[in-house]
Amino acid sequence: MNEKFIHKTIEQFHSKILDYVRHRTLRKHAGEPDLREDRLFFLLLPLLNGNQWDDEHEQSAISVAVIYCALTAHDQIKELNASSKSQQLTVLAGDYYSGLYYQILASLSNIDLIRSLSNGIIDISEKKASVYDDVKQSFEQWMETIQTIESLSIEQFYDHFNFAAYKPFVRRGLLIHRIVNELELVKQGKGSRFQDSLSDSEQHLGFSHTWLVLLNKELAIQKNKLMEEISRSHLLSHSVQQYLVDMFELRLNEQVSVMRER
Amino acid sequence: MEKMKLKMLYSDMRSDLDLIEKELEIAVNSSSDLLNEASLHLLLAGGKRIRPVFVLLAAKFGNYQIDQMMNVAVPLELIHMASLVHDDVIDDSEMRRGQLTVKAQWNNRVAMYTGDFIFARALEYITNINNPQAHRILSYAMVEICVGEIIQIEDKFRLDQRLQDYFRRIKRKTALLISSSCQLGAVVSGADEKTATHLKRFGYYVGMSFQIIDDILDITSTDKELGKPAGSDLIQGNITLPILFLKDSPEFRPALEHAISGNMTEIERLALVKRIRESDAIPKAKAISNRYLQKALKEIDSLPASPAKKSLREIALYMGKRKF
Repeated sequence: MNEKFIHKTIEQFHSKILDYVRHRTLRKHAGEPDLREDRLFFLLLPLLNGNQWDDEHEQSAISVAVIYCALTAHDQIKELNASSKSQQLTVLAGDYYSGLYYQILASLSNIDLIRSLSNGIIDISEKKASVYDDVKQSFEQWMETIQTIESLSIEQFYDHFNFAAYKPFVRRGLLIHRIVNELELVKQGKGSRFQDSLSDSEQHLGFSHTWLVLLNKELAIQKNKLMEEISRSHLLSHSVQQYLVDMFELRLNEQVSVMRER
Repeated sequence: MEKMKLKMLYSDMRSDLDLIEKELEIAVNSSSDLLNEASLHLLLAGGKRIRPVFVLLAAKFGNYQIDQMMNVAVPLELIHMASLVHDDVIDDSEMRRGQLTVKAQWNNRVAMYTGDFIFARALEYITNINNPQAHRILSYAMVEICVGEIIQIEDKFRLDQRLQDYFRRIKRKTALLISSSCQLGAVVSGADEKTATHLKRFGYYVGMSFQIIDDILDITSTDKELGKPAGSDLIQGNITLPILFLKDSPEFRPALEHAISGNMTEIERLALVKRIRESDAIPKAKAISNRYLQKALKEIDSLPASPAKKSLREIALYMGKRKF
């Protein structure tokens, strides 16, 4: 499987998910669901790397992607004014996708996976709520929090189908993505609830450096570790390794350097 | 008074309902203080718990085991609760059951995560039931309920709708989850297929009757009884059965159009609510609710002999005549 083929497989998977969740009114007012390429890549990683992949794997991977559609829809709801038609339908889009993921797995009679994924959504919702809950924790704990939010559902999918060996890649990969996003927001002069929580924890607990310095350092560390893991890995095929390297721009060893203090 | 009546109706199931109430408190327990508080806030605001009641009564037609039925009754109430938290965001509601809503006490995003948490907890519970048919029934209901809510938003502020649109909407919005509660109680307890079908139909008819009464009460109850302004449905653009009976009347049309325009003053609201209360729309809507209720009672007649039949009949009759 070469890189072109990997890209095509992800695109086809993307279309399949859109077919599953398609709803005329939701599409018109709430827009297409958020289906990030990196998440889809990690969901398909066992297939792309040549593992056995049957219809049950495919349907289950779709259900996990639909969970991400559901949860990210609800992340788009404004904290204070959500009374527009588009926001109302985004709330319902999230609920509709949640029902669909359950329906897909119920049709497969995969009750164990329903349990495991629901368990994960509980954990993810609790972690997402922590930024509204005046939680003070160490920088490392905040990194674990966002790691759970970003990758837990995919990790549970891996666990269920004995693909656990891929877990370090998704954990690191999606953490990097989130850190890059946060740093991009800083660059644009925009904040986030997560950054406010980091800042509060820094003030209360006293981090070794400012949270922004730590976030930049963390990005560099995670990129280096991912690069190391990829190059050392006997698990990944050459084309998958190359795809990962390209996706996270690891070859260039590019690091977003935003050292501006808030 | 009404609460007393309900308590009396539930008296045969009191000990099992107490167990469910305790289990609901355990179910909303979260490692997040915020989600814990928000979910408990909602749970302790109360509710009629009609979905758990129907699960338990339906299960009495099979091999009734409370430990097992708990795993059906608890998630059905949780799914209902989760949808209420999200509905309050959609409707921008500040009050529910006389208390601040989760979105009003915290914010919309917290309401989103609270609903997602409760919903996921519901699925976690129902997975204790190892019966694929039960999961197919519930997941179908959940998707259809959302479709119903999407249609409700599409139909908002649209006076030119038919009765059929309204019935289709309330079928999904309310009747389906009550119908599924009855069907799941029967299926999980191992009741025979014919009984499960009668119970499912019973739940559907009761649910339709229940929602029509709910829509009537939104107009006929006082602000205090409702815990929100009477006529809120209309103000929010939800066209309910009494309004559908009046929409073509030249005496009402201009006032209804004004009401859904969002420019109605408090005095105008009270005056319009009074006029609707005095119109024939209320008895007409009650008659339709009653027709559904009679159909529900007919389904009970077809059920095998059981003391649960009497309870189902009494609760259905209560729901058709309730005043809150």
